[in-house]
Amino acid sequence: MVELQICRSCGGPLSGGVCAICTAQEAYREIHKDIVLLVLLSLLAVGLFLAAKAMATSEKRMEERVAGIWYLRGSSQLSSGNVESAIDSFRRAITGDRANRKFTLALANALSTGNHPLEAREALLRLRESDPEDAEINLSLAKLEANSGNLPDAVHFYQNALYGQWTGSHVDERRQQVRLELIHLLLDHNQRSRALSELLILGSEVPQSAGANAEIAKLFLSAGDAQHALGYFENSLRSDPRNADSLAGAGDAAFRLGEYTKALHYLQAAVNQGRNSGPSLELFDLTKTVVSWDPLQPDLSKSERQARLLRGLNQALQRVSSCAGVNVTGEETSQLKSLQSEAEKAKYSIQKSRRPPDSDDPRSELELIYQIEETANRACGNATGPDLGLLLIGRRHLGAQ
Amino acid sequence: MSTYNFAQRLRLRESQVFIFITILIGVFAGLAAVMFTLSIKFVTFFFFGIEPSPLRILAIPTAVSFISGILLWKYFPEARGSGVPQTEAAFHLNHGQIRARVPFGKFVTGVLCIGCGHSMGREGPSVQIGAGLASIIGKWFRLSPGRARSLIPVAAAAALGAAFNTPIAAVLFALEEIIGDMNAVLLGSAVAASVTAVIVERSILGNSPVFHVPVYHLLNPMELIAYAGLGVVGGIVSLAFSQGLLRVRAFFLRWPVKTRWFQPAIGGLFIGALLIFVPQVRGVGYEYVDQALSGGLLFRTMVILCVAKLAATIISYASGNAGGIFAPTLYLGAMAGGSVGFLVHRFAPSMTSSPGAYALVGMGALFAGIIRAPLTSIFMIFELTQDYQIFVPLMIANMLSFVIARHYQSKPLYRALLEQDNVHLPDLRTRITFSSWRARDIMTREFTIIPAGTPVVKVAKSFVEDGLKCLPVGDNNSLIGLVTREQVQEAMITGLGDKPISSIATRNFPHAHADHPIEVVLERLDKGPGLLPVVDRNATGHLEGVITPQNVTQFVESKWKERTGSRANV
Repeated sequence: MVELQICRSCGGPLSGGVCAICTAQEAYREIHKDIVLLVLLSLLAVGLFLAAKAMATSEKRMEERVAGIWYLRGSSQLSSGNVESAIDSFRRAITGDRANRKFTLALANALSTGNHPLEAREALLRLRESDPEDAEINLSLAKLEANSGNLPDAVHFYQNALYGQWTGSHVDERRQQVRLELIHLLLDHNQRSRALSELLILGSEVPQSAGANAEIAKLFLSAGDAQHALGYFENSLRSDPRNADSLAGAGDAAFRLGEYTKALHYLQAAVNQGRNSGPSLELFDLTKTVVSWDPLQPDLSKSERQARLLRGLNQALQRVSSCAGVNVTGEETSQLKSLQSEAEKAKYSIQKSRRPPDSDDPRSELELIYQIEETANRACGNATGPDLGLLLIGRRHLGAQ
Repeated sequence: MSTYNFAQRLRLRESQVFIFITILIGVFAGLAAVMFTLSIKFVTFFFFGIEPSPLRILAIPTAVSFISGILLWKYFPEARGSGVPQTEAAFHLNHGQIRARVPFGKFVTGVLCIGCGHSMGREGPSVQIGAGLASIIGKWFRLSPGRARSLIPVAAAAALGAAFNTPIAAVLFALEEIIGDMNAVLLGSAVAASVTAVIVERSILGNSPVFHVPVYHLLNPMELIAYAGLGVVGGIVSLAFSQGLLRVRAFFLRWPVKTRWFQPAIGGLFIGALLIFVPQVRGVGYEYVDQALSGGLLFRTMVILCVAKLAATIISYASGNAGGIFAPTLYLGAMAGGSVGFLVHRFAPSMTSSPGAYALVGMGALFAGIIRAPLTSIFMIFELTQDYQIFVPLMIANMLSFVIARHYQSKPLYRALLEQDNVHLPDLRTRITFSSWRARDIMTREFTIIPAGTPVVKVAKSFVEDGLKCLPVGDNNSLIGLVTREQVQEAMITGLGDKPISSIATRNFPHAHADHPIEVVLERLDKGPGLLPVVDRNATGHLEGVITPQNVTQFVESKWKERTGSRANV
């Protein structure tokens, strides 16, 4: 018979010299201690977490305050022309507050001003990664690319800026200003068709003021669209009929369209408004020549028409004579000689009234004058003065032939 | 019986509670790292304000280093330097035990030293603080020595993960550097703690990365040659840094021990003077690393900053201040890489990436060359960029930097720093060997140390009387060298009999540690003069025993007798 062993501590049965109850109690005590310790440490962790969070908030505020100070310092340094110091200040501002896009934009602009385009580009591109639709970032990038002569990227960023997200006030005006910058850039790079499409949009957006219409009209004129230019100049003149700039511009546009009478009207008015020197006056003189020498002007008497033809032929013959002193090729010399003899004959015919009495169509003589002027223009250099007028008259009436 | 089984299961509580402890350590290490970082920023602002005067720049590091020097000398001697070597020593030699005052001391002195402008990093101290807290928690939970020891790398991973915001690299660092074994069974715990710490850090500081890295593109395969060049430059800069640091530190260590309390102030004075001219090398300096990464620094600036940071970090560390070399390593890498990138990009702009990309790869190359943790460096940069394309150039640069640095300086920097403090960590061979015969089993503990001042003639008599071949020489019971019969005889012939024995003793001699396997003992005994001292890993001056060829023979004979005897009994 096996004797039952009893635990001295708890009176329970012993198994292999070990008391199961005491062992369990001891384990429970240990677990209890562990749980209490875990709970206490967890509470301590929560407390420390809150303390660390408060520290982080306070540190962030401090960093932002310091960053703001550096930003203001950088701005004043930039405005006083101390670009390198401004760059350093803006960098410090960014270090303190990386999330502030205003600081990065300021740095990029300072870098751009300080002739560090690569760094400026890096800074802006990084900023753009976080906010690709931001209009101001895209605009800064566009300006940077434009200054670097990188037209495709500049246009790309200008377009992004135009259709991006704008913040702040006067959004429409700022957007129009950006489109205007884009148009200027395109015109500077001779991208007329792209500039024209932007101009058409701009024309529909701008308010109907004399100044705005004149501005757009000038751009249309630079882009080679005289028709739209004339329209916008006339719109401008409706509000401000004595504006010399608009009058001269309208005259220029009408002249380019071949509407010489209208051009003369506007240019005359421009001269009257004080534009009596420079290109406007030259254009005015040329227009006056074109209008007063044109033999196909309607409502001319037969004698006046013949007189204009004779004046034209004489001018053309003079041009041939002056051309003789210039180095010309053999082919052009013979061509000019042949035309000269034809002109002499035509002149003689008109002077002796050998023309059939019922014929008042001066086209053949005008064509002859035009041919002489064109050939001389090719052989002896660009025509000026009355010769240029004759060329323009010829192109107007015969250019399509 | 069922109650008994239940109780037995409850006794296994350690396994169950360990996972909770791991998470807790992740939380505490993360919080400590965050608070350490924030405190450094506050203290820096407090000390320097927005635009300090030159006098203030000179006075602050000197005065604060003076105070921290006293604290380090009197109360927290273990808190000097990085913290990573000390953590490794705690793991390998002290069963994971770190004194409770160490993490608090490290926090205070680290904040003071880095905050006052010393060119040092916050990651190493964070690792030591985290490990110290883990040691305290391990004691509170009465964990077994093995479990308590395993908390050290877990805490290191957590602290580094939170300090640098790279959880994977932090785990690899704990395995590669602290444990020194990539097959460690602690991977799961380290990952759990590291992830927990990073969650804590991000929930407090937000998701903002430490650096804003450029988008990386390998533009042309030929560019890999440039990255190889960067690897060579990285290796050279790594060597310059490691050698410079070890030599200047050795210089400071040669000073009398009683001067240790004001050595940090000397470093502070030097740093103050340097900061007047190059303020960019102050403290951790990550804002300038960020600028180099974004291509915001010019070639000349980066070269100057590289040289100035090298000098500043060497002086700060060598003079005994509290702070790490992790951040300075990255800083040097960014500047060296950025400089190389700048030159390369200037000559072949269409074929090469921006200087920022080179700065990034340079950071990895320097890390591989100085810290000698190549895998950690690759994953660290990968975590920063999250771009697979960077792997190939990074591996090329890292490999070259690592190989060059290792060729000219075989010992990794952390290990070499520990050896300067007379602490020898076990190498991989010692750790993984399965031999059951160790130096401690073979050595004799009965030996005589000849006092350093003993005249040569007296020692010559001992050699003659005892028939010995070699004897240890010591000073205040601290081993300083060995002397052989031949040396003594030669000294007697040349008339040096009156000179102290220390004047002829060999100071550079092979030694063993008690845990070395018999293979290492035999190898080193063969290289030595016939006597192999066995010294303490924690204090290499402390002689634990000696081994002679006779000891080995006697040991093998006794083992042979044991075996044959036991067989005869069977």
